[in-house]
Amino acid sequence: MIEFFNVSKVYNDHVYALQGVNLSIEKGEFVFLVGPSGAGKTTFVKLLYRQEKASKGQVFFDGYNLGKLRRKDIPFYRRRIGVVFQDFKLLPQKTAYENVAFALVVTEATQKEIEKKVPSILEMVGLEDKWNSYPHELSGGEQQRVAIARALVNTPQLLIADEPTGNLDPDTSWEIMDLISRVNRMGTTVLMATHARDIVNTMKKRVIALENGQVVRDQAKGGYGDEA
Amino acid sequence: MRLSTWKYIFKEGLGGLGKNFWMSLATITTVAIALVVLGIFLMMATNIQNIALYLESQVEIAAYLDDDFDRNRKSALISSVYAIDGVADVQYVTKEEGLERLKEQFGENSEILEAVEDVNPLTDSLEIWVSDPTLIHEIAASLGEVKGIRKVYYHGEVVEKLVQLTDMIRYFGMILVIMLVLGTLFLITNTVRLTVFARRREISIMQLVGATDGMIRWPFFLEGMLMGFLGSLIAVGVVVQAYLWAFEMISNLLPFVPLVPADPMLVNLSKLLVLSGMVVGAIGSWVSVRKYLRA
Repeated sequence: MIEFFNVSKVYNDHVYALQGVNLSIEKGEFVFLVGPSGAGKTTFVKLLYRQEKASKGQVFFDGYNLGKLRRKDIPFYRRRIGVVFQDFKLLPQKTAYENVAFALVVTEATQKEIEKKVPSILEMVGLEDKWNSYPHELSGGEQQRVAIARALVNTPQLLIADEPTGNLDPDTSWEIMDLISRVNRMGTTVLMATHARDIVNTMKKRVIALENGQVVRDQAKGGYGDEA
Repeated sequence: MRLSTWKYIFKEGLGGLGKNFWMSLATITTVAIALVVLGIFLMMATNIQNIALYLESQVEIAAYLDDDFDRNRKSALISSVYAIDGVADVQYVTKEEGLERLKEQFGENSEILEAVEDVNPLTDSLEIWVSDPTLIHEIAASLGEVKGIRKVYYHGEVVEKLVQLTDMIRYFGMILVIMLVLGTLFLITNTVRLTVFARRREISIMQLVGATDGMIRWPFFLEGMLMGFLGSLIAVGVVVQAYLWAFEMISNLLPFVPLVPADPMLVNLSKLLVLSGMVVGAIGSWVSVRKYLRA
């Protein structure tokens, strides 16, 4: 479903964030993207949700060359994927319900559809009693659940998570991981960039390790560090 | 876009004010203050132009007629004077009226005129008002050639000074108006930019969720227009009250100053302020959002 062909990303003509990355990710996979800060994880993820364009090489999603995507088509592409961030990126002036509903509003869904889908997805992430809370009234874990609900409400084929547990305590992190695993078991492909060593080591999923912008390891059922 | 999407856009755009209360209040206040300053200045400029126009309309030429002028030819004479370019008004003054006026001017000392009363030494004359004081020399020359007119009197130098003064008032008034209009536009657009800047993160989040440019932009557009509208309403209230108050005070203290009446001017000024508030608010947010959409 995702293919990187010799992908490089250069900032300001000389800072190499990614260099000659080749890989592919199949439908339904669960992939960890690990590596030290500055290794290129965030750039990798940004190429996928088309915040950035590759300087060299091609990134394909479901057969579409993302580098050739026109500006006005980007919103429509993003509705097919869900993205979750370390800082949640919720709209501060909307309630939990409105934040999730917004992802449907942008697709011009009908009111009826919105009223059906939002409650059920909020229930799935375990927030059925926090509909009317604003982000600042929610804990970090709860905010991330809202973000995940928003990412999933359009039933995307791919869930991208950029350090989703980076701001959360260990217990809450595991609750979020349970939720993400559940999403993966329901058939959604998951790509998660992370620093969380014990999560990666415990879950035994495919691990792609980046260093200085290059893939240094790509291992099925791998661990976080070189010890595996 | 669908109707339900437009409903959403209107709800967001018009409801946004409450959600960003302090920022919106600051913007509305800035718009109001900027437009009050502009409005008051425009009213002052209009009045100063009016005074200049009034002064120019006072420019007058006196033409004394031949001693033996036949009053039966009066209307023929008047129409030939009217035919001269730049003549706005003509009044015929008989020598009897002329003497009366002299008496009034002499006031208490009018006895000295009694001596001449029986043998009125004056002649009939014409008072001529001009529409364009810069033409005064030409008009006077043409008057000198009209049959029946003996002598033409006017204050050429004073008129030239007056024209210089009114020209200067117009010129500087125009420059000040242009500068102030530009300053107001700049101030309002800049304030609106700040409100958008404060919410640039929201714009990027909306983009990540898959919102099209239109869905992000239209609510901001409406919100900018609404803030401009509310700010201009406040400004109109202040400006109208201020003018009515100033009008009354000046009419009492300085009754000889010709003020522009409130009625058509304030209505036009109010329309202008409201329209510019809305247009500048809307365009300001449109342009600022565009910047963050492309970021």
